[in-house]
Amino acid sequence: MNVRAAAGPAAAADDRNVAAFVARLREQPCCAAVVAEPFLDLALASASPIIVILRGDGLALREPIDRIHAAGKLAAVHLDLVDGLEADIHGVSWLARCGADAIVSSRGSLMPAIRREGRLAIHRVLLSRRSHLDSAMKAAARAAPDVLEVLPGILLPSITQLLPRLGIPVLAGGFIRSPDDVRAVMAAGAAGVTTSQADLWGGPG
Amino acid sequence: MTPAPSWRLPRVLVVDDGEPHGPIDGLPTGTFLRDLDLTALVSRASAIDGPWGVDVDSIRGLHPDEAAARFVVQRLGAAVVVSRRTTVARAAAAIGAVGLLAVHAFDSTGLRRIAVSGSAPGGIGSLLSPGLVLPHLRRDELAVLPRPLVGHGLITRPADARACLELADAIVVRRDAARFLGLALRGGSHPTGQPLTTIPIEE
Repeated sequence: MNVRAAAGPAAAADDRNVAAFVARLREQPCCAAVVAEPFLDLALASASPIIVILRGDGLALREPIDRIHAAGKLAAVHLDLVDGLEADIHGVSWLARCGADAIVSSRGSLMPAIRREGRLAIHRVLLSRRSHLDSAMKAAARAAPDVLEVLPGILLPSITQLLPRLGIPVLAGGFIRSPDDVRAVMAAGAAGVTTSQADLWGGPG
Repeated sequence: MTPAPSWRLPRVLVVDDGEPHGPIDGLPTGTFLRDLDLTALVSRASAIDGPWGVDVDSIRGLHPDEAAARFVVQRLGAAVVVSRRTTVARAAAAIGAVGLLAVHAFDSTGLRRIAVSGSAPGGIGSLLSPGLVLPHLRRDELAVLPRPLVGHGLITRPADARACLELADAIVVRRDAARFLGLALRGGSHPTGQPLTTIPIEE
């Protein structure tokens, strides 16, 4: 199943975004997940092609996003986790106006709104137990995101056989702390990883 | 009203699916009830032979509060009570059950926040989801999780179950996984290196 095939004509422009995103990951698969402002400088100086802002003031993101772009990187923002923003279509619009290239949310219902804003829609799926896995994946398929982020990503090699193939790039995030971890999840099918482990932002080596 | 006995935590809790589960060689087992409505909970609780636990937050029709904890422990005989609410887990522990605070571990940042919040005060343990993440936690991360520690979720393979049992006091698995774990233990070595007894809960 390819969830993007159901996304309609607007998918063509989105597909270019996805292609650019995946191309960046091919260069270097480790996205820098920034959980506090001091780490942004470290991420900017790293080889990571994509910076994911997980925390901070959602109402003051234009400046950090401009700095990310100035460093030649893509900026993704987790709408559910930053302060000051509601995880709804207005929050999506705000982040789009701030220049975010990609918006991450656990709310599948926001994926169409994110795409309408011309941003890459990353659906974060939290895996807690097997009986939730099926419903989470069905919800992800309905949401038709551009990219799926699976947490805890470290489990990807153990649960690959339980996951349906959605035909979209998968990011693995959570407890990925070593080059071996990166290689293992990539071997299990991930297109890239998101990690707050700064020593991986230069790649798995 | 039956006074709650001094419970011990089984090493393996098998998710109830309406069918009886067999014993797992050498490992004390119990039953885990979740995702039921209140009437079904009462019915299943009366039919279960042996210790059992319940995720009270997932029982439809039961509001997860101290009254719910008293009901499942004192009226129905639950040995283990799981809730995301500290007050519920603590209330269950106060009347002799094993009270477990449900916590999620999706990434290290979230786990650090659990540690910082100190949301599980003494007297109650933790039920960590997904349990399969246990072998990937650092020692210092494991140390902040209140004991007894139970791994719950995505533990489907015998090798994973063994690895989780080495780190946690107990695991929750589905019946099919429990059966395979039993088969594996029959043909394999001792999974935990610990005596095959229930884990006593500190008073």
